[in-house]
Amino acid sequence: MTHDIVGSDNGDRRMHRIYAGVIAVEVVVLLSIWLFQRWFGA
Amino acid sequence: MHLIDWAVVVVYLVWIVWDGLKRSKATTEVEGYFLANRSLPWWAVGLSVMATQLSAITLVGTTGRGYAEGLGVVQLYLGLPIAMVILSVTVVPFFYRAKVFTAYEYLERRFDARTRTLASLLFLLSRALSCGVIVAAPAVILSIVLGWNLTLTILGIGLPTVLYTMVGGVQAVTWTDVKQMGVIIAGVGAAVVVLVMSLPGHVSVGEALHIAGATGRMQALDFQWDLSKTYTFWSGLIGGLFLMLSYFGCDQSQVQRYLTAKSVDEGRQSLLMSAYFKIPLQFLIPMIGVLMFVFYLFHQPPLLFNHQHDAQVRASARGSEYLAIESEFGSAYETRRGAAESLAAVRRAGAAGTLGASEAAFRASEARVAGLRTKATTLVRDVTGDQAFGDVNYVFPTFVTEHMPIGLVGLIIAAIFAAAMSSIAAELNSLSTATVIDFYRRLWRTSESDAHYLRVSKLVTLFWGIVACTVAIFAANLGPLIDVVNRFGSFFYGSLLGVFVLAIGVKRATSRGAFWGLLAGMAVVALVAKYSTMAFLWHNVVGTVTVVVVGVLVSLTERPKTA
Repeated sequence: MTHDIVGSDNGDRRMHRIYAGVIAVEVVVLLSIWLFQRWFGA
Repeated sequence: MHLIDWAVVVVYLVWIVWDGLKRSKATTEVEGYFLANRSLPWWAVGLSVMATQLSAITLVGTTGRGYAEGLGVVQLYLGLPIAMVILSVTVVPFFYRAKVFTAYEYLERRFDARTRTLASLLFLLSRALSCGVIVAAPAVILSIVLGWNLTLTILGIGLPTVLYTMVGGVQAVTWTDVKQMGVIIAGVGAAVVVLVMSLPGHVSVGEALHIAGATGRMQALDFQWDLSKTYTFWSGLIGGLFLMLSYFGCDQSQVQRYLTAKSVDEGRQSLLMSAYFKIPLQFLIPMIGVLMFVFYLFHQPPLLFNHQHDAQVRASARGSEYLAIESEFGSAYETRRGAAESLAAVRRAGAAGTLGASEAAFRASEARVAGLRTKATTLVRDVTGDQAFGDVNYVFPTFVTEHMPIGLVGLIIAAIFAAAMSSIAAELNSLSTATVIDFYRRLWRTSESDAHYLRVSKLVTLFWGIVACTVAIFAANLGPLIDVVNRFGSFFYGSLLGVFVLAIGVKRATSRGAFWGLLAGMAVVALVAKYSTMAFLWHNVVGTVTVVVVGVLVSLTERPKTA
């Protein structure tokens, strides 16, 4: 068995949009946590 | 505990065991028992993935850590969303299309039998140990709450879980996980609401968080580049990424979750659910700890939350010394309470000129309280010889049993049960899968009937349940439990990930390279752990990089096979 098992659906646009959404949400969450810490930190 | 709380816990237990047992009808062959015939919807698998990772250790250890140190522990999960995307692109379609039962089965097809055997053995060893720690965490709580014998408590938690996992297989694990996740979220929500409602009338939530912030507890992100610090932004993002890649990509207890999904895309979506919700959830849990810290600013806390050695210390030659610390702690608490009240008042009045002085006074009073707690802990350790003694894991259960309203105590205890049982069940099921598929069916009884393997699978689940309970008895008195589990994992995880990187990402990698790379990775991690101050999250990076480098170098010494 080799690397060929990863099929063509990795190119699926819907999944790519979902992956981009995950990263965007993480950035927003990290920014929110940072702002939260800046606001309530000493 | 009130009768109503008992009723809540009993109803929860009966409901979950009954729900698990009825799944046995859908598991009449091995593929159904281990993989649910690849028929489960993404949302159920996604909740199961989250429930499996969120153990009682997360609830007990992380809330305690939030109380003692603040929100910094959330950084452990910073690499998780990126890991989920990488795994969705690579490993999920890989395993799914390979039609494997275990992640290690693939290693034999790609490399050879000994690489599979070694990887699977490492999984069995590390998971059996961590499963024991996961059983121990709620057992510690119950032994405090009910005064039960620890061994009996461990059996009380372990046996119902073993029963439904053994009978119902992965169907039981997944569908009970869904319900258990609901109970956990209800419990966490109830704790947050009660803590907010318990603030003194004149202290707002914002003021309370500012007071916690004055002690550094609101610092969730620490951008310092310090390899010896456990939780920093960088250790979480980089070390955490490697840990999560390994945990969700190479650990059978997680791989098996998404192998039960209906399709590749449903498997991916089940992982991505965690990518969206894990960080907010893991932010909320230490926040409970921070809110408990604020709560105990206005309500007298015990000197130490762990009363395990209380009688022994008081009766010892240094008993009077302990009493003196306790008495000083009472006055230190009153001073801190006054300082917290003043700080809240200064904030309310918007008196910027005196804010700095009020914060300094509060910090000094908090340092005095913390110093007395440290002094008492050291004294307990000296008197009893129990060098692992600590009370971080006892803060949340103490708060719950002493300050939560009737009914909600039962709900939180049920949530802690749910967190533990969901993780234990998934791990027992995956331990059984690896044992039967990677060893029993491959090496010992290769051509028995499906009914035979199903029967053996159930017996093996029972066996691992007994092992987990035995390990739990020894693990129950270790330090902060979350670190114990993660340290177990970090010893093996990075190296296992390295082998899969070689398998999937390096065409030139050979079985000899993978085997020696794996051994070298573990050896280097062991040396780093022993001789350096590097935090354990970085061990995952060290392990992976070592395996890949050694694996590639060894592979290059071999002549490439010609077609």
